[in-house]
Amino acid sequence: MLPDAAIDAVWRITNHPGTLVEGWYDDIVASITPHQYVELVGIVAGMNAVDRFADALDLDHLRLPPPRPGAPSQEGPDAVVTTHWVPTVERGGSNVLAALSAVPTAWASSRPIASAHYVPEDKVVGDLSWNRGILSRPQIELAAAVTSFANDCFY
Amino acid sequence: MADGAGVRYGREIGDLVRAAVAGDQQAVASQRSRVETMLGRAAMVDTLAVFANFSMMTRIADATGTPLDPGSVDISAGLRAGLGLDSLTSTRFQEPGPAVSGR
Repeated sequence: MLPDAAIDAVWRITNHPGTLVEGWYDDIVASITPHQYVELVGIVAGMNAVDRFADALDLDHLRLPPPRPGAPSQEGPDAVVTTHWVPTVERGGSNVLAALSAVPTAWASSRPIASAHYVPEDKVVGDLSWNRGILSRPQIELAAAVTSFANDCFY
Repeated sequence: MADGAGVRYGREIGDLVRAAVAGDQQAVASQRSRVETMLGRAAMVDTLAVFANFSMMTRIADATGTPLDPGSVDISAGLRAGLGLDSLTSTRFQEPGPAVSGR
């Protein structure tokens, strides 16, 4: 069973991401560890992408695979709180790219989603004219900006 | 061609994304049909793919307290000060503003 704080975080991140404040985060990590929270964010954010894509196309949600036995590895880099609320590892690039860096598997899970649905990571700023031959890059960026605005995204 | 931030078919793309964020299935179906008619089925799916990715990225950013990037801090200082954005938590906590003329 998930702790109440984790359930609250899942609900709040899913439904009201634009209302999250540091005091709320502090309350959550009083009950779960910052690394557990980062892993949770990665899972919730990724599932929001997959499920909302299905909903928008009126498709069935993907079924989750069965859980595997075993304890979490607890392995990860040394991460400290510097720029974000959560601990991060210096990796260069934009701040959002470092947001999940304390839990490398959470970060790695988000990359295929971003590359397939948006733009491959090396093309985001490395090739501002890149597109996959469907929408133009300005059309892609407009869809991105409208989504961020409508979600009340501070970043 | 309809305008939307000066982007070709930007209005249609923006309307589809806004409907998807709102989760209004009837509006989404209507806007999907509109974009598919004007830009094609692949463009409709691609628009919703971008929407899906930024449904993820906005949550990662806002849930981790991701700050503005160094390159964005200075150039946005005047804008943020003028609009009071540095003390804004969410538009959901604000009183509705006056109607904007012409809209």
